Amino acid sequence: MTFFNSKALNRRKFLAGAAAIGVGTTLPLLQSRAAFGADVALEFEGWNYDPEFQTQIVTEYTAQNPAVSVNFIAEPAAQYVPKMIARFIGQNAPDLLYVRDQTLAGWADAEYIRPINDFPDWEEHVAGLIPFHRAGLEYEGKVWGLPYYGDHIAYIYNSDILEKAGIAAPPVTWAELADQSLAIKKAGLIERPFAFPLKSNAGLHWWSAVYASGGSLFDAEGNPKFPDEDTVALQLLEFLVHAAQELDILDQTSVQMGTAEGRLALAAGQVAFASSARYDLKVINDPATSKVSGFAKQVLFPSLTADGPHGTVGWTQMFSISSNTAHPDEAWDVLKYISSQDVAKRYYLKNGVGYAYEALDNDADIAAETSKWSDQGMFAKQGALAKPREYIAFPWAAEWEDFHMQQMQEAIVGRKTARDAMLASADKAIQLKKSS
Amino acid sequence: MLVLLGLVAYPVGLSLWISLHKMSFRKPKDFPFVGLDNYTTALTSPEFASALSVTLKFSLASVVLIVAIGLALALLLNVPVRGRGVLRALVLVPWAIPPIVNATLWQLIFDSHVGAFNGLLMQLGLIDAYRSWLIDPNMALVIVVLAHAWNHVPLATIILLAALQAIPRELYEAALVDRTSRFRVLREITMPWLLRPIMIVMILQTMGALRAFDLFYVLTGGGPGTSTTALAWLTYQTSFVYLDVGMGSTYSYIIMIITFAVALFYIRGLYKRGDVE
Amino acid sequence: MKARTIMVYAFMVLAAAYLLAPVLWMFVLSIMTQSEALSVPPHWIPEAPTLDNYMAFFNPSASQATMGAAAITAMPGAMLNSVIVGLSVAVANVVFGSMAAYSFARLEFRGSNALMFGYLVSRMVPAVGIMIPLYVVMQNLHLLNSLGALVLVETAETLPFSIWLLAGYFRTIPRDIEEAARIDRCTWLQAMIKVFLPMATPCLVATGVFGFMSSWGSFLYPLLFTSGSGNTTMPVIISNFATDINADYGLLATSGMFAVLPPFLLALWFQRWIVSGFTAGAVKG
Repeated sequence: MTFFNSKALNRRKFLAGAAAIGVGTTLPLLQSRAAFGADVALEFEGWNYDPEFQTQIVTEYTAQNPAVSVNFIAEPAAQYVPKMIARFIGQNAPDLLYVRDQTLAGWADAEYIRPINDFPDWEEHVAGLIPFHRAGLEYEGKVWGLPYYGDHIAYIYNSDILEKAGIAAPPVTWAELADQSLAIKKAGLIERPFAFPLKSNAGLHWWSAVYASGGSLFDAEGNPKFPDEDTVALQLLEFLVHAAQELDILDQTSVQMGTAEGRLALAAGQVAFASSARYDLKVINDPATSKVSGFAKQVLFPSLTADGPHGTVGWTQMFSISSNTAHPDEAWDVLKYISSQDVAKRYYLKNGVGYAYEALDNDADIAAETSKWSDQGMFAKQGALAKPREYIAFPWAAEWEDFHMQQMQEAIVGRKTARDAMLASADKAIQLKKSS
Repeated sequence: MLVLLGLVAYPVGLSLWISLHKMSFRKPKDFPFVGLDNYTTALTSPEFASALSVTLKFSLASVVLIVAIGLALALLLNVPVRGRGVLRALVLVPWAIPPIVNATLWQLIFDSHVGAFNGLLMQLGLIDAYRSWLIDPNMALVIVVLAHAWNHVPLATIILLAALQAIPRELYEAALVDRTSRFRVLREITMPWLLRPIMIVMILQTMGALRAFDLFYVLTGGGPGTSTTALAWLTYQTSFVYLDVGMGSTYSYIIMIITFAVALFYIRGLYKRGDVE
Repeated sequence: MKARTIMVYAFMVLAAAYLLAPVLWMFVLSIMTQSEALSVPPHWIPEAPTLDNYMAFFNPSASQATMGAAAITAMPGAMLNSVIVGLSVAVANVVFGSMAAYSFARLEFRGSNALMFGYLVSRMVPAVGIMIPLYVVMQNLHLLNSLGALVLVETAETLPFSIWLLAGYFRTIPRDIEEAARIDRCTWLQAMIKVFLPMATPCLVATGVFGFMSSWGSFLYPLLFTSGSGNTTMPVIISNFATDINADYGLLATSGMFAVLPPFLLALWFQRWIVSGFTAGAVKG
């Protein structure tokens, strides 16, 4: 028995030691804050794309406002949501944080974040935003933050391959795209020149195609309109199945292609047509990261008929204020600074990632930057046609979309007809809606 | 001991409690008790059935492969020759690669347009054009198993090697005196000795396989269709994407129950042979 | 005999090829440009090898800095943190594991098996299912952002298996050996340290390796319990080279090479120690 007692003692010592290490490492943090001499210390957390820029911006802010200190923390992007949920549940959320378009509705419902409508001057800060950005900030009639960045899904073609196949102009409709793909195939350039990302987390591309042909998937209550009330979705899927199985022009990987794989395929010159995030053009036209630098061009998203409307999906990532912040006014002041038009412009010039301000579409510096790797006119034109995913606020949206993408994969690989896949997906939406 | 146990028991107990409630991270204050409803929902849903079958196939294949390769490597590394020290250290290498690098590495290797695997097969003349390995449901699962096994073989090897080294020399010496054949030594001395460590490796690997999801996520995203949607992936999605933590905790507990059942099965099977104590 | 040795070497080469092929490709990726990595067919030997990805950790270029200059500069500290956590967990596993296993193997008491099994079963719940409650516990204990918390959790995660493994080995060691020592008026602790443990060296080393490697690759817990770049471990820092917008494959491959080196060197260094420890034990037995 003495053995167990001595072991328990060891454990206790070990725990005490561990606690001491804990105190030892957290104390310096607290001290550094106190030493800074700020009256209010704010925590600001986001995911890890270019954290240096964000740190620089908050440093500028605190230089002008010495009464406030802001500590920016970047988390790995893929695990940002679980990490933040842990902090929300622990009542330990940062004062300011990034919010993704997909998570906005859930976080707003749970009251993890607070709307900005309480602040007197909120309206002037959402004036002049590109429509899809403005729409993306809103949920249940309230505005939940200010824009960080956002962009749209661009349709991209490889001008070099088109030229070699003797094609004069990029496609406007899917039928033209199919003809051009057949020409490229016939010229022996690429066996299957056209890719369509359909991996389960790549629903954006599918939505863009639906918008490009003027379709809509759900009514305002969340009842599915496909496959029969609005036939765009079914026609599109039938086209994809036809392209895969009869024409044999659809890249076979499409069912397992996400945005990252699509970008690699474009950059390697292995496909002639695919959609991707618009800012990916910068990487695809950069000789350091691409084999086809200079040849990747943007065209309006193809549609089923020549009259368009060639819309696409646009998304907004935003900065929000958490509900449990002790300093909402200071946080709001920081929020206005970090999301300002000037900061958005600098961000674009540095990284090429889209901005929310209409005024920047005609900015000379922005145009000069875009022209290095894309076309400013096309960027503005497609951006004006973009809108957020209409269903994104439904609580069951993510679960339905996973199921929907699986059904489309089944249709493409020939295990189901396009119509059966669409029917199954509509049933799933109805069932999820009922149970939520 | 109690503190450490508490550290483990509290979260485990709490998640069991949550699994008996309808709870969403979307409405964290709304917490109605629903008894075993989540469990019946899970057991009757087609998504669950499909994920369960994928998971069981994946786990079975992974565990068999890992134990086979791990055992072969351990036997090899136990042969007293020069240079085995380097190989023993090399065995750890696949284990040391951080998850994000591991996932990206396999993604690049099996990529259908620029992947090294395609390049290798083509240069060896085994295929005449790059192809996608992940669009065929069975092939996709095989690829995830191969990548997973490569990563987890070191653990099995290290445990089995340690067990081999602990075999008392007298046992072998006795066999040498009797001029027993190498195969019989393996079968009659080495294998019985290894039964218990093999069982531990199998339990550890079953746990690992039932919990694995990052490779699925990166390589296949669960597709095509639901052919690679594993239970652990469903758990993650349900908890943090669909925000249904009640259901997510239920899946966690189902994974735990399966692990437990499999562990019991191994232990029973091996105890009956009577060589474990 | 000679033919057999050749065969053993042939198998060893095969084994090394299996273990190393993906890592060699990772190495090749780390010394080529991202655009060359897109070549079809792949360039097994880079045409224009570059050390840019390695230099990045001293002096990052602008595009590499976008992936996280702070992450790049935090790498050495993070690796040190990983080594500290790994070694602490390894030591904790060996020390507490052997004590507990010894008691399970020798001092059989009522309910010991049930206790052990209960502990094991509790570890069978996937981490995804308990991560949020665990975070709240750590927060309430004020252990967030400390390496101590990581050591604690990783030890809790690995210890049951270490105990179980060791208890099994310990049972196979004949009791007479310690009883002889006890007759020489050694306390149980002396008997354990002087006689018993040397015999179990290979298993203790395996336990230590298990503890070290488990926490070396662990990603979820450090992600959850630490914030910012100063006090986290290597896998979390490395994951910064893949963002939601793009990934720097060169930096990922290079940091993979960095991640592989310390365990490999530690294992090589330990090698001598294992062998000598083993012989000592064998002689005494």
